[in-house]
Amino acid sequence: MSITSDILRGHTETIILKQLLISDSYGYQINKYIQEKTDNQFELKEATLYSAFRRLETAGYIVSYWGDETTGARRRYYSITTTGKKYYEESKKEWEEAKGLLDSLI
Amino acid sequence: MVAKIRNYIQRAFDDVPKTKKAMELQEELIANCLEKFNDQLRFGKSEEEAYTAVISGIGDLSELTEGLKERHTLSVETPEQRKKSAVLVATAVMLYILSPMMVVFFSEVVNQSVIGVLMMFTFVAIATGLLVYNAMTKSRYRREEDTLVEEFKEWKSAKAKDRAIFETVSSAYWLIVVGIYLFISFTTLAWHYTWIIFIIAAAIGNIVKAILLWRQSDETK
Repeated sequence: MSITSDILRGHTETIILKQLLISDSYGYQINKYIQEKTDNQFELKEATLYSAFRRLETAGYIVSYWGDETTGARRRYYSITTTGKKYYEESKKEWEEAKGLLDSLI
Repeated sequence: MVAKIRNYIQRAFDDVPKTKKAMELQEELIANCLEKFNDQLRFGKSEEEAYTAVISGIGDLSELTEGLKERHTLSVETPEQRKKSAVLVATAVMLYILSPMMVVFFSEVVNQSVIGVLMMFTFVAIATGLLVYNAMTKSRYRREEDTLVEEFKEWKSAKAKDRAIFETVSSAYWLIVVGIYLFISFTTLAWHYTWIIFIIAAAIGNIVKAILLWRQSDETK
């Protein structure tokens, strides 16, 4: 499992961008999707998730804005930018290549 | 339990500068963690279990807060900038010193006092231009943190720059006035009247200053 989570962690940013491609979202919701899609086998640590947000934001791949919740605490939403979409496509292509290589090696 | 989660996150931010960025990140973390906590309760977990799940899910926050501790304070002047600035100031001072000599040289040696005065004004104008250019291109204090202290530093830096420009212009102004006084006095030889130039000059100077201040206060409104 530790190898699996290492590989997954290496792709944290692509995983986040993929979620934002579907719709704007906020931290907990993204983590919830990840959990659901992996049948509760994988979950990002909050520290990892928010560090990735900061990196993506600095790189200009995502932008954030505060939602106007009428009840409860306000949430910070993230939205993917055009350069972010391009970066996602590149990362995805890289991953496909790596996957093909590993399949032929292992 | 809610307060305990809040405390846990706030403690991680204890030694982080209280910038807007840090406070927003803290707020975001707390909101998301509390939502997770409430979800856990809804799934039928006890408060104790939900709390443990939330805290263990946070992970090592230091990797997140470490990035917020970096401060870049002053935008430092490079040696080239300092050199350029020194050359500009030195040239300007030299021109100021040479400018009265033009009057003497042209009126005594070439016997063309009008050209001498014109040369003096040209020198003063060029020197003033150099000093103003130097003050305007000096790197400004750039704000790196959204705190009150930073705002104050920025305000102070802007103030000092304004003052430098003002002093430069005003010293040039008085040199020009002295030049006009000498020129008119020498050509008309009416020394008993010409001193009035200084009073007129002071009045004009103050009126210009008043207009500038008035405009400035209009802008800030």
